[in-house]
Amino acid sequence: MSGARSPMPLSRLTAFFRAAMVFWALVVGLSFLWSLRSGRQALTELARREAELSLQKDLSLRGWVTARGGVYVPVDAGVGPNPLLASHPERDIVTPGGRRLTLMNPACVLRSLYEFAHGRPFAAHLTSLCPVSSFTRPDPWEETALRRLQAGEQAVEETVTVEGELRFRSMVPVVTEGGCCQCHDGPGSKEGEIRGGLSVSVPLGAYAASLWKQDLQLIVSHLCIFLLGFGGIRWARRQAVDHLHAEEKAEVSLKESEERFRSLVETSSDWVWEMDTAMVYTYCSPRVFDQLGYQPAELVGKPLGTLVPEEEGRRLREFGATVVRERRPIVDLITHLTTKSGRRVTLETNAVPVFGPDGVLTGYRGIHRDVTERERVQAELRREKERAQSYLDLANVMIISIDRAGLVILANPRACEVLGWHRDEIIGHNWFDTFLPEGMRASVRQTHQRILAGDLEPARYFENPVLTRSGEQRLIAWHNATLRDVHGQILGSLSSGDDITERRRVEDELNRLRDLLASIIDSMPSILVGVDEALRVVQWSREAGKVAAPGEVRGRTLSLAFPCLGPFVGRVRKAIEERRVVSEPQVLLSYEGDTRLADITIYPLLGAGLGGAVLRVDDVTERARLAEMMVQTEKMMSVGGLAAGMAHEINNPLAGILQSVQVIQQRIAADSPANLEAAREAGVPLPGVRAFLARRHVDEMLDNVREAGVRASRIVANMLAFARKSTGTFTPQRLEEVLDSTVELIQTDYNLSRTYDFQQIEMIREYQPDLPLVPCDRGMIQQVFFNILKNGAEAMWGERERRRPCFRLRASRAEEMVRIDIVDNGPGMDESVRRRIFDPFFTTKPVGKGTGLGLSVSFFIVVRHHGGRLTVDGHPGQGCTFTVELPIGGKRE
Amino acid sequence: MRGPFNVLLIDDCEPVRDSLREYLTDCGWTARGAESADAAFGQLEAEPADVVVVDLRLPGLGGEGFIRQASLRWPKTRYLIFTGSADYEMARDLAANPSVVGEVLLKPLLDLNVLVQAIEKAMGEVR
Repeated sequence: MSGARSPMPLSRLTAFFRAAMVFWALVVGLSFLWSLRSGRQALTELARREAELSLQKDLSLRGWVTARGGVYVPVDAGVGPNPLLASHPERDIVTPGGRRLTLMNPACVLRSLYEFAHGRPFAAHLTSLCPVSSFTRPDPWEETALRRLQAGEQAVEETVTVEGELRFRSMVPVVTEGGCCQCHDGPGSKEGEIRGGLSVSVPLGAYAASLWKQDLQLIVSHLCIFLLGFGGIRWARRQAVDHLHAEEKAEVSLKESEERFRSLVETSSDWVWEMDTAMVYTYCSPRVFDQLGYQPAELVGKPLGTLVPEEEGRRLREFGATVVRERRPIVDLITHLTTKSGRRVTLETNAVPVFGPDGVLTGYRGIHRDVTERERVQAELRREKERAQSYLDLANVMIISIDRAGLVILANPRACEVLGWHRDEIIGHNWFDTFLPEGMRASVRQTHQRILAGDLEPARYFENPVLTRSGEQRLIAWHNATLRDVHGQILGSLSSGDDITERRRVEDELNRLRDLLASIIDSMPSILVGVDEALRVVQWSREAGKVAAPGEVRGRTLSLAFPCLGPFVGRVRKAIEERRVVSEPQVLLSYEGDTRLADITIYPLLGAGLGGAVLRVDDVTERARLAEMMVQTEKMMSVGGLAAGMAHEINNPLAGILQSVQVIQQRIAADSPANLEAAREAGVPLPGVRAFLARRHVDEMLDNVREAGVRASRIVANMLAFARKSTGTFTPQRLEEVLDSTVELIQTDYNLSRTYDFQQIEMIREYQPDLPLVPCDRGMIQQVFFNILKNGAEAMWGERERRRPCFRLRASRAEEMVRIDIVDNGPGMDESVRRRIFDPFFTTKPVGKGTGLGLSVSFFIVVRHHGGRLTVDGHPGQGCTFTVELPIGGKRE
Repeated sequence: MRGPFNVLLIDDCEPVRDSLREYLTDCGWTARGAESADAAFGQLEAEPADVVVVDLRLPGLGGEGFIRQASLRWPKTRYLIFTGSADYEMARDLAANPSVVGEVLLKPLLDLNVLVQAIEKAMGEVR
């Protein structure tokens, strides 16, 4: 565009428009002033005319008077004889009627007229620098005007403000005329001499108002004209500036465009070319060298189809001819060329026909693009896709892809097979509504939404049933992934599903079976432990879990997992080796500080392919206690039977003794007729008999006999009560009374083995009054008290040299229990003894001296049979307190 | 009802039988003794009694057997058991028998007046 006129720079443009603005302001201003002035001139002219008219009238009057040589007027107050005319002979005349007339010269006439008309508009004023009267004295303006007239001016005119009113003032000189000299003489009386001035004042008030209105119109109209012009200039300036900018921009973008296209052509990987209508290259961009290894010059002048194999080249030329004939563009034409170095390349050609200014086809312009790599990649992609498809087809898992809307976009043959639908019946259908059981839809849809939201982690794997064509449900384990486009946008989900229906069914069955077996084992009261050949624990029951060592049980060796079974490892091994059952009855096991009696049976596993053994441990402690109690009760019963028989035998003689004593005492004491009769017959008066018996202490001895009998009967009664067969029924008892009867019984137990003498033991009783009755088996509770008292008596007996044995028996109420404390002052016991004192078979006595079951059985009776509590408290050197508490309301089942 | 009553005492232990007879005699009652059931039958045949006090362990026919037979023949007579067996429980048929006094007295009695009162009470019962 070098031919374009150089643009006017912006600064010059601005200056130009500024000057235009000033010029316009000047024009309008001048016009305004001129109009103003012409208005003023017209006004002055008007005023002058009026003034002149008025003056001319006055002057013509004066002239008329002068021409008459003055006029006579009657003398009155206002007009007297003019002293200046004193020289005039006929100044004063008298009419025949006697009227006096005096001559009035022209000046006087005028003056008189002016005096008469003074104050009216257009009033004229005759004045002089040497006034004849006060009236003719000039005002300041007139004085100035007179001087100017004397200086030679023809007339003086001015617009002045008089007393706030605008007036046009004009003065003409009063010149002495010939007629004047007839009457006047003296200075100023020569003809042509300026005698004074005649001034007139025209009020311009009315004109001024109209002038102001005119001025306003002028101002407004000029302002409008100015503004119009101003706006026009500004608009023009804006247009010019915009135009300037547009021009500049157009120029820059043209330059850029040129630059861009040049670089495009030269840097494009495409080979740009031009051909003529014969399809012969007329231009080749340098890029051809990069593509084919030929310089542009080597190709220019060659026809289309050069470097192409012969057969293809021919077809290409034919194609070229057709295209030219039909003036079509060439679109995506693929050709195969050989480069200079012999490499095969694929070119894609696009071209458009080029027409000359007259519309005639001049050739083609287009590009060759090297698409060899693209072709290769596409072929690779195709192969890849085919391979992927074959994977999909062959895969033995379901592969389903679902788009954002929930429509199935992919389903492989396996998926079709499981679902039972043809592929076309699956693709494009809503997955959730069509292939899921109704109850699952919402939750699976929710999972799908999470996958779409990119929150894949929790949804990576899940299981849900699908609905097949036949309405059956199959459980599928899904692995899910997101399907993304090249921009990373999530298009949908891709899932592979494994039909685990059968597997899950079998698993469930197995689990059920295992649970069943476990619960069978757990429901057994025995401790059951299964071990393999290496004696590692493989299975155990809930009961076994209670005695296991802390930590993992499965897989540990038997002795580590179950320390209490450690001593039997050898026997387990033996059972496995000899494949026979090994039994160990009544062994003492200790775990958690508790000693238990147990039967252990070891069964080797004899099933095919199974090694190892099962240990069964049955806690028989309770059974042993029961058995011991039975034995003891049995013993008691046989003793009891004996005692009962004995008691009967004793009771008869005792009855004889006691009854006889009673009769004897009665016969001594009573004054019955029979007694008196017998005494009289015997010759011994009754009082004498009584005195004799008293003197010989017979009555006292009779009392002793009676007391001894009573005591014997009580012993028998107690023995019987203790030995009496337990009825197993609970009857309400006073516990303190049961305790007392036991004490009474045990006091007869002396001399048996000399381990203690109960008679020597002090008894202190502290019984709370009014204790309630407690339902219990009296015999059993007596046994309990008996065992405790015996145990305490033996303990204290060993210490009797140091302190006197003493039992403190307390009975009290403790909430819903009646509590019996049996406190001894024996040697007490240490912690280890106290902890085990109720253990079966625990004894501190020498071997053979005690069974170690007495207190154990007592514990059993109180706690198990009666639902009460049996506790012991005591420390070495402080004695022991055994506390028996039995519930007032009986045992709670 | 207060006595005097005609009482027959059956007990093989003579001191018991005799002392009891003497005591009742002192009370102004008529009291006889028998050492066995057979002797008692003879006594009753000779003269019926208001009350028979029966020991259980007797040679020959025991006390219960005696009561069963005697109560058939002398149903108006009242039979009171007086035994040294502390754990005795009356057989069901005897308990149901209106001739038998429900209360059983156990030997030894520390005061014989208990027996007197028991008899008086039994005789006062409406049969």
